[in-house]
Amino acid sequence: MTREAETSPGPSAADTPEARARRDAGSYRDPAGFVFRRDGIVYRQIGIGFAEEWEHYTGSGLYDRMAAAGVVIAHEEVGLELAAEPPASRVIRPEQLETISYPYEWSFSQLKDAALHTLRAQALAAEGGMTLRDASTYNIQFLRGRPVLIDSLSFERAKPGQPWIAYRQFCEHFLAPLALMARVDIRLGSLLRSHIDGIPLDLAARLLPSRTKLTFGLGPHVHLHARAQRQHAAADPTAETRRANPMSAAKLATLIESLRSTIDGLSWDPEGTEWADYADNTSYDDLATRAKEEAVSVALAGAGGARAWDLGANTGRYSRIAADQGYSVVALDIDPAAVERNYRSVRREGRTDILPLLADLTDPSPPLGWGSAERKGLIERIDADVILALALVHHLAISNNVPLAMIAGLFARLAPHAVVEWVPKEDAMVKRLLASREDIFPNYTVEGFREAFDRDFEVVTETPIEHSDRILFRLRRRT
Amino acid sequence: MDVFFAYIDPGSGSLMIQAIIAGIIAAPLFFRHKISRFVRAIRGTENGSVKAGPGPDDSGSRD
Repeated sequence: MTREAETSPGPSAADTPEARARRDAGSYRDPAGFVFRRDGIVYRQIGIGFAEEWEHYTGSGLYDRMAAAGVVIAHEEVGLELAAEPPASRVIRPEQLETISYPYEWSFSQLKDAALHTLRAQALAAEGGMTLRDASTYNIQFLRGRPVLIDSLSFERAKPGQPWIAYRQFCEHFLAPLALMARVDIRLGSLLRSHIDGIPLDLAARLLPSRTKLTFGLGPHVHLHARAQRQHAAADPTAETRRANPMSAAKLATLIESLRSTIDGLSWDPEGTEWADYADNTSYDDLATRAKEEAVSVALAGAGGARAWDLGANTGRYSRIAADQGYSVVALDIDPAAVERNYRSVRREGRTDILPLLADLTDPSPPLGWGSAERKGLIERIDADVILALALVHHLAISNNVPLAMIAGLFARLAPHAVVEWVPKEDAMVKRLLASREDIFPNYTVEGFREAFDRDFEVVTETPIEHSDRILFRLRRRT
Repeated sequence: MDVFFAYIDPGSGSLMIQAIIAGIIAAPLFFRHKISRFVRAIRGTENGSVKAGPGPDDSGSRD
């Protein structure tokens, strides 16, 4: 923008259609097109160079079949005048997502479902004479409880004899982390946070038990694959591809089916981790639980709004109360087992209004990638009308030494309304936390809680939970 | 390979190894099919009344 444009009267450069559009910071890798945001709505611009592939994808009926099956996100075409950076061949407005989540925030089965979904997209594309040109975990999001491919530009026409371009990416983004989580330790899912381009196969091969070398799936797709990468590291891909054995359509189908059955054979069952049995194993008796459910229900009805984030949701008992009241809920928990159980229940019940995610509130996902802007931090993505913090504050305050005023400060950043449960020191759960350490928390009292929260919130209602020593606070952020 | 559309690095090794891996995986299937045909031939049940052997969907390649 020139200085002249800034100062001239009438419509300034800042008002032109181009200037109001902002390219998504994570959408720069693929020259075929990119995602941008205009007036709060997400669009995708398709470049001139990709027009023929796009026409084939939409004109052949493949897109219609994929969208109808829920494999790809639905979109509608809009006018070219909305393009962010002309020239464009098309501009589309995809169905808008409520929440963006990342693979390091998914439970095992969420990542597994995303992997199977990606393979299904490739299989359907192959039937339509096309192929999936990338297989990034970031191209999958959860919409109404189920995975969906959000990159509308992921398909190109298949060329006879060509191997699968996205094979490496699929193995690094999906197969390697799932194998490590299932065969070594569930916590290795966090490697996705330190490797946003996928887990290098040589690293996965080193970490996996050596007996996996002999298995039918991980043997070739991880171990042999890693070896081939090392051997051909310096080779020219174009020449090598030409020399390579041609990949017939049948061979490609065999490869995809083998990946599918390998992924399908990986499993992890949530037992023996931190909180898995928490819901069934609290100090609460049934009466207290019912009283708490009733109090939460009343508090939520008073708070209003459409989006609720349940912080420390465990397996989602109270998330369901919020969802049944019409809230669209994101259910965060620190424990992979709890998130796994919650996701399995959501999937089994066919729920569309709860998204379970793995997150540590004392260390939420940071912004990652280029310019620390490619993948947004978790806090930035929380767009709640109300937050639920039930049986959470004592964990933050006592297990993590977070001062109560700092907890209030964080909650105030997240939402205008909060429903917070106070659990006193006399409660069995707090006693348990204090059993192995010195009580250095003289201010952990209900008076201390009121005082700490008073700067950011006013108390709207305060409901003692019957049959327990706990109190449910409904809070409204001060303006 | 079209360089423009392959915006991700497909990896030389990853391209090279695919056909070989697909071959390795397909081989047992192929032989299983042959063996089951042979067994049926010996038993004299080739002529239609018995359900066909493993189809292409049954990869048997579970990890």
